[in-house]
Amino acid sequence: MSGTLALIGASLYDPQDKSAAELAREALEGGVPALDIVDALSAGITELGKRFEDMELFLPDLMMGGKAMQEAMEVLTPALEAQAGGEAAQKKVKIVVGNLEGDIHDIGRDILATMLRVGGIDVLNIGNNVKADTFIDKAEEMGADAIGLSSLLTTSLPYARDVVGLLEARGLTGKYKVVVGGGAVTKEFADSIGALYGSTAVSAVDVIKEACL
Amino acid sequence: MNIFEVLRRAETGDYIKEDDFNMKLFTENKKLVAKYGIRCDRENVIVDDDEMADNLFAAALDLCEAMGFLCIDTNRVIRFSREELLLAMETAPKEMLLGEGKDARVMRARRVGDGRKMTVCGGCPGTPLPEELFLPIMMSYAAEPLLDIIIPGSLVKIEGMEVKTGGPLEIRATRQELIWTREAFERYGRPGTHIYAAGESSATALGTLAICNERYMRTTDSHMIPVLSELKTDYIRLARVMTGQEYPAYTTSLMDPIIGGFAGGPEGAAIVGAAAILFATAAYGVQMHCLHAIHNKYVAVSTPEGMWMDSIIGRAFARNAPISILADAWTMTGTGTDELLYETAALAIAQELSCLHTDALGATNGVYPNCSGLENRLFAEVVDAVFHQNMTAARGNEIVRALVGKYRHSFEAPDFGLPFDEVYDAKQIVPLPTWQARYDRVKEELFGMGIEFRF
Repeated sequence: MSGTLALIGASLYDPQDKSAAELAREALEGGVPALDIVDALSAGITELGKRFEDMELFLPDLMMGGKAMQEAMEVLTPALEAQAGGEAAQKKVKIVVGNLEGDIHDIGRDILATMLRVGGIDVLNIGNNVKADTFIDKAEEMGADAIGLSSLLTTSLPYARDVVGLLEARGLTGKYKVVVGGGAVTKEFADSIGALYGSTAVSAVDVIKEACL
Repeated sequence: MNIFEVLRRAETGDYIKEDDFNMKLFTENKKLVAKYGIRCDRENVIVDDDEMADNLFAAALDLCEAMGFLCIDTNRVIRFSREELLLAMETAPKEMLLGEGKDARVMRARRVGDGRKMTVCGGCPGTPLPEELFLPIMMSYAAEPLLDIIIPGSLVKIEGMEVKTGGPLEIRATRQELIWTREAFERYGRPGTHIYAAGESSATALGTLAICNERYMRTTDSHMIPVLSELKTDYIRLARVMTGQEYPAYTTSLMDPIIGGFAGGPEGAAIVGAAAILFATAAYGVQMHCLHAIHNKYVAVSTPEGMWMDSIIGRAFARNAPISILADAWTMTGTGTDELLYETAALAIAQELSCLHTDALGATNGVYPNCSGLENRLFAEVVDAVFHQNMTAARGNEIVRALVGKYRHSFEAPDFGLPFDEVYDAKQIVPLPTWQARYDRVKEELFGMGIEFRF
C-alpha cells in the first residue's frame, strides 16, 4: 500500500491534520482509483476495531473513526458509482436499532451502531426506551431490512417478545430480520422468540449481513 | 445537601447536550490521567501505592469540578463545589448497624491498616432467577453463617408471566423477592439479616415505591440507586432518592464505570468511578456505595483491569475520605466449575486487601441462574483467611496473578456451569456430592497456594 493510502487508513485511528475525507478527496484528484482508497479505509477501520478490542483505543475513538470513515465514503460514492458503469450500486443493508422499553443503557447500543456503520450498513439509531410498536413504525418508514433490539435489563427483554408478537399482529412476520443483543440477552432467549443473536457488536455485524444479503 | 437543592440545580444548571457531555468527559479525563500519572498495573492489581491513590482522589475532584453531574431529563448540569463534595463525604456515616437484633452487622468505612475485616455480602446481584428456584437459592445463602448481609437475585417471572420494566408485575416481583428472602432468613434462624439492595427487579421508581413497607423492605435494609454511566442521573433515579429519604431505609449507590467506554481505559474509569462516588454521596445522600467495574469486552470484574480499578478506588477513599464501598464480584463462569472458584478467590483477596466490602458474586456476569451458596462460602472463607493471616498486598498480588492464570482462558470461552438445581439438592439445600468435591479439591489447592483457611 502506498504512503498516501496508508495515511488514509491510519487517519481513522490516528487522526492527522487532514480528515480521512480530505485525504480521500486529494487522493482521488491525484488519480488514485476509488476502490483502492476503499481498501485503505477498510484496512484502517479493521485496525481501529482491533485497537478498540485490545483497549488501546476507546469508545469515543471508535465513534470518531466511524464518522470519519462515513464522511470519506460519501466523498468516494460518486466515483464508485461511475466506476461501476452506472450499474445499480450494491444493495446496502438497512437496520433500525434501539434499546427496548425501560432500558436506557445506551453505550452498548452506540458501539453496535458504530460497528454497523463501519461495516457498511445504513443505521437508524432510535435511542433508548423505545416502545415495541415504534421499532416497527420506524422500520416501515426507513424501508429497513432488520430491526436490532438491545437491552442490558433482564426485565426489558419481554418487550423484545412483544416486537415479534406485534410484527405478527401487523401481518409483517418475515419482512424484517429481528436481532437481539446486549448484556441481558442469551442465545437461548433469542432462539425462544425466533430472533437472531448478536453476542457482541462485532459478531452482530456479521450476523446481520449474513441474514440480509 | 438536601434533595430539593439537587432538584433545583437539575432545573437551572448549565445546559449541555448529552453527546457533548460524553465527549467532554473523554477529553477532560484523558488530561487528568496524564496530569496525575495514573497507571494501571495489570500484574499487581492490588494497589498499595499511596501516592497514586491520593492522586486518583485529587483527579476525581478535578473531574467533578470540570464536568458536574448531568441530569439527562433536563440536559442541565448539577454542579457541586469542591467544598460541598468534601462536606458530603465528611458527614456520610462511617459506621452503620445493618439489619436487626442479633442478626445485625456493623459496616464500617474502611481505612488503610485499620485492623478491620470487610463486611461480606452474599447472594447473586442482578441475576435473573426462576420463580420455582428463588426460595431454594436464597436459602442456600441464608445457610451460610459467614455471610453478614445478603442481596437477593431478580425474579423474572410471576405466575408464569414475564416481569417487564415499568409494568405492573415490577411491583409484585420486588415484593415477592423480599418475602421469599425473608422467609429464607427465618428458616435459618436469622430473620434480622440485612437485605442489601432490596428491589433488584426495580428498574424504575415503581419497585422502590412498592417495597417501602415493613412487610417488604425494612428501614434497616437498603435499596440501590444507580449513577448512570458516566456521571449522569435522571428523574427516575432522583425519584428513588426522594422515596428512600422519606421512607427512610439505607441507600446505596451503584456506579458502573465502563473500562474502554467514554471514561477511557482502566485509569480513566477509576477516576470516573471515584467521581461518581463523590457525586452520589452529595446528590443522593447515600450511606454506602456499590462499585462495579465493567470491562467493555468481557464485562466481568475478575479481569485484571476490573480488580485494579476497584482496588485503587478503595484505597483512594480509605486514605482521603473513608466511606463504605462494596464492590461487585461478577465472574465470567458459573457454579459447578473450577474456574468460578478461582475467580471467587481472586476477587476475595483483591477486595479484602483494597479496603472494600463485597457485594457478592454475580456468576456468569449475572446472565444465567447458575449460582449457589457454596461459592459465596468460599468467598467469605478466603476473606477470613486473608484478614487473619495478615496477608500483604505483595503476597496477595502473587496469589491473584496465579489465580488469573488459572481462569484467564474463561474470558474468551467461559464455562457457564450448571443451574442451581443441578449442583444443589434443592429440597435439602446442600451441595450435591460432585459440587462439594470440586469445592473441597479447589480449596485444598488454594491452601497450597498460601491461603491459610481457618475453617
